[in-house]
Amino acid sequence: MGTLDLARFEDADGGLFGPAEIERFMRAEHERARRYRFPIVCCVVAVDRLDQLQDLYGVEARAEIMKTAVRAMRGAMRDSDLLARLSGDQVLIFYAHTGPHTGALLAERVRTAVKKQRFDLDGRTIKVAASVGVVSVEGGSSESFDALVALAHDGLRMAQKAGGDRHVEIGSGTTQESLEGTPAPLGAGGVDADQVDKLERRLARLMSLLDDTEAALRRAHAPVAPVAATSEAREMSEQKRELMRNIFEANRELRQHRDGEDESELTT
Amino acid sequence: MSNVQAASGPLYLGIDLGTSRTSVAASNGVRETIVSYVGYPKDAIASKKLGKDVLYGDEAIANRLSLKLYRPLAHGVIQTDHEGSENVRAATDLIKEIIKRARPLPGQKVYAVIGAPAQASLHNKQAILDAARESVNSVMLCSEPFSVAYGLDMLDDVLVVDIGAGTTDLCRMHGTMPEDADQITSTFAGDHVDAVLMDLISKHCQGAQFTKEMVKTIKEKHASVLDQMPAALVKLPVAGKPTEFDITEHVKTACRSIVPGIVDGIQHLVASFDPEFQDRLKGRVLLAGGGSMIRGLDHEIEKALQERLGSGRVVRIEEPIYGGANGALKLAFDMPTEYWEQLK
Repeated sequence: MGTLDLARFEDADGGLFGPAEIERFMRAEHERARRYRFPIVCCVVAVDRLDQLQDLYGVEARAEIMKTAVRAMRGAMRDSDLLARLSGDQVLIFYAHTGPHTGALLAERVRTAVKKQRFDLDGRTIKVAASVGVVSVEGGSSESFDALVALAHDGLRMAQKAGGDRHVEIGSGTTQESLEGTPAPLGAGGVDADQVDKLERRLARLMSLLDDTEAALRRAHAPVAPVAATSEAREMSEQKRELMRNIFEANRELRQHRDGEDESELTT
Repeated sequence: MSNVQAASGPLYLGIDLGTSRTSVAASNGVRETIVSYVGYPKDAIASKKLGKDVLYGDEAIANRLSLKLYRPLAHGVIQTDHEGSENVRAATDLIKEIIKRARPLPGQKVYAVIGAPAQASLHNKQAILDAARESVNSVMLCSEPFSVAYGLDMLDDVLVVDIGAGTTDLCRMHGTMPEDADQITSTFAGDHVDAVLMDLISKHCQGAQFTKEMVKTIKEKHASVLDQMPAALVKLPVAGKPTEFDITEHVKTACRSIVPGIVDGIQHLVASFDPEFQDRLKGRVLLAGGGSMIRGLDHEIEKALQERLGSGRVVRIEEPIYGGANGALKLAFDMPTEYWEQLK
């Protein structure tokens, strides 16, 4: 059964199958993907700052948050997708016949679904956010199932380190490139690559349209985030550069004024 | 790999140093807020009982009888007149604590942007800088309403109304750094509501005993300007006996007392703006800060704007408590490294 420890899988929250079966399904689906050369996507999801929430509201609150979050994730998945809970309150999601573009959209959908949940804890309404590590592989990739899960974990860690409430995509074997926005080509080397590509793009367009309003609201009101450490994130408009320069100058003047005062005190 | 670089890079912080609450948003994802109270044990017995040299926030309030309690900020700046040096010490400790709660790694550089009231004096700004310098490698100040707008990426033709406890800061954004003429600071804020409510309760609730803190708690629970607001029934001691009072109308009156002052400020900033863009500006009024959580306040201000200016649209930001800190964090992150280095 490979190196993935069966004991890592816990109860799948009322799912029909036990943890071992779910892992077996995922492995079987992965094998099928290799054999029939279709693309797959694997995500590891975690609710952000869960330990802190537990410190504040207790263990029961943590369990309640996880239960609701998993239910929300299920609601945001397709019937054919597989979900399993890992230890450490992380969730593994496996999407078969799914390319990187759709994978990213599905990961965003899962993240958004968790973010929409509200919890009444100690008389206060709180909301949570989630981070998602996404790894996608082309049809026929030789990447093992365990390696995929490990890569998705890497993506999750990067998303968390960048402040959470985001997904980080990693193409198998090309972690760095994917982070900089060059995902692996759709369906490359696979059967009916063009058709897969067309369908992927059509689906992506439809999903974008559906999420358009929500995305606009998110951009306008987003808790402004701890930003990812990519060169893209550092790019800014000339207007912002000018603002930065002005703030810097104002602070430098403030400091110079203070230093001047200190010097005159010394002289006195 | 970029994740390794991120871990060893500086920790960026956005801090909203408020009269009532101090919040931090950090680039490692930590977000914390503490009530802006600092307490020091009154004597050796208190020190032994509490087991700490300094207490912060709710813990300080809960143990206030054993503490010398300080609320080091007034009107959004460090109090330097009454008990000046003690307040400066308390503010320094408060900043140190909020930075500690952002969990920097050992040896990690910390770069912080702190929001200050739009019209804080030079002296006040320097006091904040001095208090922060002990705990960070480099620090910058920026106007609080500006940081809210920056965080939301709304830098053009937006009017930000940041309602804090000590001050309400209004700032119009028009794509450049706001100047003095673009900003107004008034004291029609949370503390003003508390004062009016205390006055009304003293007049109308015969014999009721209460403190400023109790009134603040009541306000935070019931604050509303809605015509049909839920009844505000509170129990206050009368000669030691808890007695129920209906203070619904008093809460509403107190909360509404800040509206005319805020609308005056908005009107002034709109009227002195380029006439071609006035309509756009009054259609983009953003409410931020803890005071914006008064129920119905956005509609009340909108209604007043429509009466006075013919039109107006007011939107409350999604995260009033963290709006300033989030924006300051974004600024800190966007600030080029060489600027941070030069200000060390």
